This record gives sequence, C-alpha cells and structure tokens, in this order.
Amino acid sequence: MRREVSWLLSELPGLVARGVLNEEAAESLRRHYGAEEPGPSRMGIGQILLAAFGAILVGGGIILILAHNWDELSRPARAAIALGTLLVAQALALYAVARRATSPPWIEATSGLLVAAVGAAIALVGQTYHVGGSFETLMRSWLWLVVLVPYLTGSSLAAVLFWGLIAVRVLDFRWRGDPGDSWLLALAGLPFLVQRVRAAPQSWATALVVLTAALATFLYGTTVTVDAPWPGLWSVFGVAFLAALVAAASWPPAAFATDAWRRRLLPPAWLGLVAIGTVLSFSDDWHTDTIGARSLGEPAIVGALLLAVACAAFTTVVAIRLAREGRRAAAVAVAAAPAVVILHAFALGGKTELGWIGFNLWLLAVGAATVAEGIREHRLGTANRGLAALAALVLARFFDSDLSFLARGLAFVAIGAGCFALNFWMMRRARKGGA
Amino acid sequence: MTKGVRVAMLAALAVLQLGRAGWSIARYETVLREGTAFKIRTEPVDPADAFRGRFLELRPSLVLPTPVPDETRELLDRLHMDERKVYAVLEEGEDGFARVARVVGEGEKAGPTLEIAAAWERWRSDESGERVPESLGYFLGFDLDRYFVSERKASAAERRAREAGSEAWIVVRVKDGVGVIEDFRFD
Repeated sequence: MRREVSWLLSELPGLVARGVLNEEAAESLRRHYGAEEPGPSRMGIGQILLAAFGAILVGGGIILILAHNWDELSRPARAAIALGTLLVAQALALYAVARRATSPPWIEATSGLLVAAVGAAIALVGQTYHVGGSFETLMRSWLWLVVLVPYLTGSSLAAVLFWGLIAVRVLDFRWRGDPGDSWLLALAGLPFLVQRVRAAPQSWATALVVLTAALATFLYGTTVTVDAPWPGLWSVFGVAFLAALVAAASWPPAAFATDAWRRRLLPPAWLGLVAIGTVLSFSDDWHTDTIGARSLGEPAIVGALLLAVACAAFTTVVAIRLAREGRRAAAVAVAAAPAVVILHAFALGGKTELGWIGFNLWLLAVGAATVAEGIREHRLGTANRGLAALAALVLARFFDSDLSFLARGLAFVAIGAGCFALNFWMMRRARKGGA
Repeated sequence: MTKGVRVAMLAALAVLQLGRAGWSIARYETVLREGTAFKIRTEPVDPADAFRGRFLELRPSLVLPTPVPDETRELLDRLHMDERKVYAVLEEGEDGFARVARVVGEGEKAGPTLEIAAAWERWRSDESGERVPESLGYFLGFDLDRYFVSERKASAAERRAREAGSEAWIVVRVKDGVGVIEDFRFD
C-alpha cells in the first residue's frame, strides 16, 4: 500500500502541471493519504522523541554527576563505574536489537544511550587517571568506537549523534590541527545515510540524518580549505558541495513532493549557495587566487578537493538533466559547481575578472529563474527564495559601489516595494485559484 | 543482515568498546604499580571541562641543560618534523626533583622514561631583551597537562599557587615512556 501511495503522490506535480488537477485538489490528496498512512513515522513520533531525549538526558546527567569528582571513591571504584555504565548501555542496546527490534522507541533510546555511554566511559577513565592530551584524543576514540552503532541497530538517533560529534570535533581543529581521519569517518558513515534515504525517504528521521551529515561535512570541508595553502580552494569546495546538495534534493523532480529529506535539505543548501555566490561576486576574493604559491599539503585538503571535483561532476550531469526536464531554476543553481571550477582555473591563470563577473551573472540568472518558477507554479516560498538571491545581488553591488546614500536608499525602497507587491499579487492569485 | 548477525556484531563491538576502556585502565594501573616516582615542578591553573569535570591545568617542564650532544639535538629537532616519538630518561636530582639524564628514541624507551610532547631551545637574552647566540639548553614539555580535582579543591589550589613564594609540583609514576600523575602537592 505504501508503494501505491508513494506512486500517486509522485504523480501529483505532473497532473497539476498538465491541468488535470488544480493545486488545491493535489494538496487535499496529499493530506488525505498522509493522514491515513500508518507506521512509526506518524504514530510513534512523540514516543520516539521522548524516549530518545530521555536517554540522552539520562546519559548527560550521569556524566555531569560523575564529573562532580568523587574524591571519596578509590581509583578502582571509579574505573569500575566507568566500565559499568558502558556495560549497562551495551546490555540495553543488545536487548533492544534482539527482542525489541520493531520498537523504534527502544531502538532509538538504547542506541542514543550507547553512543553517550562510550564517550562517558572514555572521559571517566581520563578523569580517573588524570590523562592529559586534548579534547581531540577523546573525540577520535569516541567516533571510531561508535561508527558502527547505526548500522547494527538501525538507529537514526545514533547516526545523528555520530555526525554531530564530527561537527563538534571540527570546532577544535583551528586550534589543535586536523588529525586527518575525518574524511575516513565520513566515508564510513555515508552508507547508512544512503540506506536510510532509500528505505524511508518520507521519514522525518531520515531528513534529520541527512541535514546533520550535510552540515558536518560542509563544516569540515570549509575548515580544512579556508586555511589551506591554496587561495580560493574554500570557495571551490563550498560552492561545489552546496550545489551538489541542491542537485541531490532536486533530482528526480517528481520525488521532491514525496521525500521529506529533499524538502528539508533544499532551502538551507540553496541559501548557503547564494550566500557564497554573493561573496564571490566581489572582485577582492578572486584577486587573492593569484597570490602566492599553491600546494595541497595535508591529506585532508586532498580529500576536500576530491570531494569538490566529484560534486562538480555530479552537478554537471544533474544540471543537464534538469534543463531537459524544463527545471531551469534548479539547473542554473546547480550549474554554479562546474562554473566555479572553470572560473577558479581562469583566476589561477590571472583572469580574475571572469570570476566575479561570472558570479554576478549567476546570481542574476538564478534569482530571476527562481522567481519565474515560483510565479508559474504558484509557490510563494520558491518566489521568495528567488527574490532573496536578487536582493543579495543588489545589496552586494550597492555596498560595492560609489553611489550616494540617497540613491541607495531610493533603490532599496523600490526593490522592497517590489517584493511586497509580488507577494501580494501571488497571494491574491492563490486565493482566486482556491475559490 | 539478519537479526542474529546484528546481535553477534553488536556483541563484538561491545567487546571492542570495553576492551578499549579496559586496556587503558590496565595500562595506567601497571604504571602506577610498577613505575618509578618522580617530582616535577609545575604551575596550576583552574579551568573546567564539561565532559570530565574540574581540573587543574598543569605546565610541567624539565630543562635539558647544555652541553647538548649533537645526536640529542637531532632527535629533538626531528620531534616536530617527522612525528617520531622521543623519550626523556629521568633520574632524581640533588634537590629531590626529577631531571633529564638523556634523551632516547623509540627503541630505548624501556625503564624510567617519559614521552616528550614538545621541545624548544632556550637562548640567552642581553639586557635589551635581544636574543644572543648562546644556547641555555632545551625546555621539554610533557603530555601531563591536567589533574582532576573537586571544585572546592581546584579553586583553593589555584589561589595557593599564586601566593608569592609557593611552589607546586606533581608526583608522576613513569614506566616505558608512559607517565601517570599520582599526586599534586604544594610546599
């Protein structure tokens, strides 16, 4: 039954585009079949959230209580507590997998507790024996000891915690340096992500795993490339990766309506892409690409470059397919990835003007195309995203130019009034269509 | 993956996790039981660690005075370049505190040795503060940078340490390159 419902829901955008159904009827069908769909993703959300948060709070509370430093306990007693908490969490996770595998609250809560307990055990041993070294030592051991937990338990919470730990670990790199195994960890966590996306694309838990993984990967790649001995590499990575996220969310077009993870991933990825595109629309950033010698240095930077190239290749294919399907706005957006690679190559050769001119044109094209798509498909959110891109372009150029305050003020008022007018007009059209 | 396979693999992962924690415990207990005790001077500062509680941040260091043999200089200079492990062989000085007898590589770490985390050469300065080409030896830093205490003791320790004339030190048990802090003391 789920397969038939998924098929029907995937057909709706095409039926609306061909005039077989109007948007309101399509929305009614989505609400109807969405409300009738049984399964843990609808019925047990409250239970799962309560169980999962309860487990994390219990785990965190135990860490805080034990971090009070129990001077009264002997060293062997403290070591026993460290191992004991881990044993209890492992036993609960084993019981959940063996006897409660069909209960999401059991699986999520015990898996979350296990991930927390591993960290607690490592931290407690460190505290008991006054082990020096850095936060990095704790995080490295913690990550490698929990990377398999999502695969063995099927827990999305464990996967979210794993990617969250990678993101937290990245924050320490600016001060202590990158140990170099984060790309390996990301590769190790990737198959579970793919598995979830294929098995449960409509699930909110899948969307959460995808968003956390995307954020952690983006943070790590940006951190290693921003200080790399290769000026401009950060922009190549940032644009290519975010464009790849937009491409993954946008293709195939019919899946956007049914897959929750695509709908959650697209707006932040798209806005991040426009933000970086706006920075690249300034000439200053391209001039630094020509300064100094370039080298890749560490393996982590090579990993970021390889990922950027892979993303650019993927987005090139998707951009062509989207253009053939008539999805011009998405095609223009994801085309930023191959564009940044080509423009960066020109900048390395001294032709920096192509870079900032190219991104000015890209911002204009993606903004206009997105606004047009939003108007055509009666999607206010899409139209507003397009307006955001155009507004970013206008703001960038005004701050970059020598125009007077009066001229800039009048232009801002005019553009802002245009935004209000467009929103008002689209809302009126939507109400007339509904009536 | 069948349920039986999942359970078996999860059990194996549990053994690995316990083994990692247990191996650390066994290693440190062995050092505390069989290692040689040394006193090393330090300055304590009182920060907090959200994961591991209140601790005193320590800065223990030892000086390797001149003349420094060329092979020792080469070992210490390569410490940061190619990430080889280098160890300080400790002995008790006349004042009862630890001093560095010599510096050795990975193959000679058996006995009362402690892994060196960082090393930098000290130079004499003239009256204007300018460095003159006369080496005073090497400062050696170790990965013994925290001592976990109760919140009450941590603040008191830092206050005592900042009193003029007070001296703080740690008692460290060392064995085969590994050091474990046994105690923290004031005079």
